[in-house]
Amino acid sequence: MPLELAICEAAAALRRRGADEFHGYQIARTIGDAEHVRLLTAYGTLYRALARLEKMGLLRSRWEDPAIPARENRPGRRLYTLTALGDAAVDEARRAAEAAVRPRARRRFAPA
Amino acid sequence: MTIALAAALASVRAWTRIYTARMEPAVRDARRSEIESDLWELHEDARGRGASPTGIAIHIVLRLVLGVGDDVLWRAEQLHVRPRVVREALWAGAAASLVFVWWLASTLQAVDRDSRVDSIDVVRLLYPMRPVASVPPLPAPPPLPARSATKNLELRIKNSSSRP
Repeated sequence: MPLELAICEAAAALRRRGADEFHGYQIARTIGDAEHVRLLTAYGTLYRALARLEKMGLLRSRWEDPAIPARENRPGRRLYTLTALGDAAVDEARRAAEAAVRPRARRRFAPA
Repeated sequence: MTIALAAALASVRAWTRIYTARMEPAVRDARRSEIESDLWELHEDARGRGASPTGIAIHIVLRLVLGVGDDVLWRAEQLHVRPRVVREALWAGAAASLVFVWWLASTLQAVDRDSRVDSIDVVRLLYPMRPVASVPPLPAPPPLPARSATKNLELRIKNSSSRP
């Protein structure tokens, strides 16, 4: 599930930058701006993946207070948060990716 | 707002209304509001970055088109339709679309090739890649019976009708 993983990683990156909550477009933009991936997250793909992650318990969502969008004259946002389970999934995926890279690196520097 | 951008926004809204139609109101409204919010955020963000309205329109249309399959699958999940059935329907739809595009392209080519614009060959329109065979001439009608033979026939009919 590369998109689901990319969403969780982007959510973790946003939290490191101080944004605990994020909306759909914000995550699409973060994924699109990532240096190692150039994904154009389609509407259907993104929101289906977000719904799946929420169902799996890796994300949690809430609608923002309607007074805020009314004041700012814009549509209301659905705000997502990465849960502890989502955090653990990101860590696990990172460890798995590192473990997959390590043997290859070792092989490259092994004496002939 | 340019026509292209307005059309792109209208397309996303129309498609969202279509695939969320006749769903549970809470789910339907949530999805529609989320897409509406995304459209607004994308538009504002792209405008802030100095993107042209046509560029924004292309971006929106691409995000729409690439996600159509997932939209349909999401609807199927919400309505508890078996994903295999939906996937097969999607493949059938994609195949039908390809055939239609091929037919349309060939038809346009055929019409373009024909210099007489006022007389469109209907057979060629229906079967653009099949060469149209020329219709063979009708066979000649049988020769008319000779006058004496006709006379004999008339007499025979008269005799048979006058007999008791």
